[in-house]
Amino acid sequence: MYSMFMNLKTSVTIFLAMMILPGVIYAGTLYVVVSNNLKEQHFSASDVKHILLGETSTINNARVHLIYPSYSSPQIEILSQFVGKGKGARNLKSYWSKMIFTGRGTPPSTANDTAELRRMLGQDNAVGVSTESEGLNVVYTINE
Amino acid sequence: MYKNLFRTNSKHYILLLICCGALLTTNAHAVELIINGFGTVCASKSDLPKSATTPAPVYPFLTQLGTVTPYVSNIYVRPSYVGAERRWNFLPNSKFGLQFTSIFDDQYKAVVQILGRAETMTSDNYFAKMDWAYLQYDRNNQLDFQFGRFRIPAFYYSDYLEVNHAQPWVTPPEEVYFIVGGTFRNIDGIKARYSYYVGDWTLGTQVYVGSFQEDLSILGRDIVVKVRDLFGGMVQVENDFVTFRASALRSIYDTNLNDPLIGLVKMTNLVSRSTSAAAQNILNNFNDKDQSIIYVGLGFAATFLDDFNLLIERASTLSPGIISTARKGYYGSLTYSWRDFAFTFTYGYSRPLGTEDRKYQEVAAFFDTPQYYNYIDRGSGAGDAVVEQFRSYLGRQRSYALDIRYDILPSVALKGSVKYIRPNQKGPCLKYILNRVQTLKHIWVYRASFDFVF
Repeated sequence: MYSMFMNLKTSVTIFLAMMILPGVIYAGTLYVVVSNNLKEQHFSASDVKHILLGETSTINNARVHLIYPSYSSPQIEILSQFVGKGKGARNLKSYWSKMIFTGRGTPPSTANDTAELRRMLGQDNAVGVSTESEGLNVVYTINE
Repeated sequence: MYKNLFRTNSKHYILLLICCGALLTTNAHAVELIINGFGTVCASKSDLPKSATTPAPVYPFLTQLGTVTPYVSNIYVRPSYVGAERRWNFLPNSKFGLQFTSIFDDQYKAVVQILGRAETMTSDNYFAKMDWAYLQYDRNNQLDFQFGRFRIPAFYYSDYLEVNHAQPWVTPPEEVYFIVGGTFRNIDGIKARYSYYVGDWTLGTQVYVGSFQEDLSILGRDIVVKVRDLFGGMVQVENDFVTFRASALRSIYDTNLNDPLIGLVKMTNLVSRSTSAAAQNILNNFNDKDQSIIYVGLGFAATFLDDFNLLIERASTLSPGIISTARKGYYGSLTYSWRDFAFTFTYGYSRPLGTEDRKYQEVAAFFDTPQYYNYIDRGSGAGDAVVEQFRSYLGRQRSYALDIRYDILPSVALKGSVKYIRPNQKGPCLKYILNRVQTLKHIWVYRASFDFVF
């Protein structure tokens, strides 16, 4: 009876860990990925921040196509903190409202999953963020 | 109502046509068209009386010849505090905006913003108008130029003042954001913006020149204010935690606001065959042509302990002419964010500058002269009614507000606010905002809004 209870407890623990850990890992690291024409380019933390905020809107005299994860995804919190807009999507969304409605920035496209991100990175001068690095041109890593 | 639809003056049509033409370019493969929008559905209410009357002086032509005594007519008004009247009303603070951005290439784009909302400066009319329409040239990542109609960057939130979703309050504190009513917001001209980055710091600057015209309706009179030779600038230094901001502008205005007062003073001099010192003061100082308006704004914002945001802003306007904009206002807001909620407490204060006091004293002195009283007024009370109108500009107020925001979705927020406004006892408060409030009692204002962007 005891061993059965322990097995059940272990199973629940493992199940919970499986449920939670991917989220933790998922939320812990973001990769800044770029299209092929930018993969040889060097980007500092400051460069990446300015690009992700839309402050740097052109690279090599061509417009940047910015790709964000969905605003309802957990990655958006890490992204928001990295660019200095605090926790949560609210501040980042407010910031982009400001950029859009003052004519300063073009709103980032949003990719709901990696497949969509890969497809969007097919165009030149595209910069996005991903939880995966495999097969993508990673130019910077954001750690929580 | 319909005369206000797409209200612009004729000289702007060329610009609008250029922008619209640019936006509607059929060369679709070369031009990218982006449509964004925002909206607010806001209900507001106050504990002001349902209705009130305000004495308005009436001077028929024969009065000015000294043969007929003027009289006072009580005008019926619905008192409201920036759209908040006795009953719950959805109209005054609700709005909907659409922005069309047409990107021609990596450097040129055209932006047109259409805004629909109630008109608070006139009656309950609802209108849609081109709020912005400009062509933008991006020289590089640091420098861009705008040509057309754009927002005057006077306040911290000026650039996206109508986008309530981007603000912590239901409506921005009136002590600063309504310092000149809902007017003087956009300009026709040229603006240059420059950003400079040093480490984690960003220096943002804007300089602009231009002109604009406001067609107002105040107590049934059509008032035209032409503002020209306007130039100004804004400097903002910020990093992830603090923002310092300063802005200033200067302009010259002409208006027809003063015609009746000056006419009355001249007629009094003529009928009484003498010119009092008080009458001369008004003729010298209450000019409605070639008068300056100066605005200075300061702002400070800070983020600390991850979840707290502090915002302090101060604004002052000074106009020595007839337009009563000699005021100073400031507020401090502290916001605490918790999960999808944000709680904001705001303290605001507003008072007239010395110039406004002096204007009142000069007007009161004229209407107290024997020349006016004996030859024109003759005990009708019309002079007292004029003086009372000017006295109402001296109102001071303190306010305390609590706003609660809940982000239902990243692009949708639900907000509610309670505001308590306490006037001083020197004069009826808040009249300066041209919303026909004339009261000595405190005011409670309740607001709820649903804000969204897309």
